[in-house]
Amino acid sequence: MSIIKGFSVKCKLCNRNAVIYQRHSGRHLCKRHFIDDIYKRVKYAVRKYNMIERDDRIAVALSGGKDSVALLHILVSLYGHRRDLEFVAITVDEGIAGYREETVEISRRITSELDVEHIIVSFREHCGLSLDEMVKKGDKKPCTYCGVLRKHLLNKASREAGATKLATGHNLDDETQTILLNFLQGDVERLARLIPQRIQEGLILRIKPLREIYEREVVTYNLLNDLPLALDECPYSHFPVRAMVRDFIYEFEEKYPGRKFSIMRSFERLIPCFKHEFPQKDLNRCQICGEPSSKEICQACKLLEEIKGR
Amino acid sequence: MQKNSYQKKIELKIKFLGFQRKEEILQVDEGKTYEDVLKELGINPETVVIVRDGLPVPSDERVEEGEVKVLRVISGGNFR
Repeated sequence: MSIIKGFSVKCKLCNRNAVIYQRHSGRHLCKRHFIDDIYKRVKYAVRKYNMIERDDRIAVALSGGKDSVALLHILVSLYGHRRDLEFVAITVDEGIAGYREETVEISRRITSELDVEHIIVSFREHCGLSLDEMVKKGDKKPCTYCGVLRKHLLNKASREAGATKLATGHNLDDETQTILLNFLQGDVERLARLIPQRIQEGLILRIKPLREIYEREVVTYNLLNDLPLALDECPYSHFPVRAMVRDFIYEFEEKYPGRKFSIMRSFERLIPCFKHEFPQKDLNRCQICGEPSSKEICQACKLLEEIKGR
Repeated sequence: MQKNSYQKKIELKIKFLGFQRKEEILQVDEGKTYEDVLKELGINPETVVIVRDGLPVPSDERVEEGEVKVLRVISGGNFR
């Protein structure tokens, strides 16, 4: 057996060195053809769900983590030339010492490099407390405060910025985990809410352009484009059930490549049933903050009232 | 893997990012792929990206002498 030093696998489509082996497609791809493939699949997802329409002003939820940085770069590369479209990045600074500072800085840098308008909103400024302070004061889990308030602020900031859509960096791995997780937990109603059915007043329509892209492809994309890769995990991150589902899907995918797409397609086939079984309720306006909510007082205000009363 | 009575070894240095382990130097049988090495370390190749000289490498590429970085790309909960 003789191996030439420097032997590299070649791209399936040209003669350059491959940078990735896509097991789901059985192809080795070079940098150029890999990036082309990513763009093709993002465009496919965008068209399939009509994510981007004429004259849209798209808010991009930019945490500064790898997914949102890739999302912004991909959207600007694909649609930046469209004169009818506008992009505005929104960063929520929850106030997590030792973790969020770096990604807020990354967000500043990337928006300036890509020449995208950037808005930073913080928990401290809008809620009176940083997440760190809420965790000390309150008795709920950090992810409860963070999840509810981050969504609340993202919607509010996007609406106030005049956005027609709100894009998030959820990738194929995130989506398939959520699908299976909700299914395993018996939470089919939540599953039905994964794809918005229609426009509701005050609620900016969420889009997920990376929903067909594997997480490791996102990282590969960032590496190839010299984009920042913040790989640190949030110190509060604690989702034991999701982690179990995630690890199962990785093992499943390793043995049977492409199964994440199977999970996604099964879910998509069920969307018409969800629409029928779980029609989206009309939303009220929260009596305190005016944000859309299914209740009289929204979850964010409820949490804040409770914690401030302590 | 074909079985050879004489198997040349290759020295591979791995830097781990996003793992508990930090750095390891391994003697790898010539002809093995990065995927093979990762599996032997108990790491699912689906959960990482391998980087050599600043560029990603296909996981089924044969190991070359030198250094690679292994980036753990999965997120969402510390459950290791």
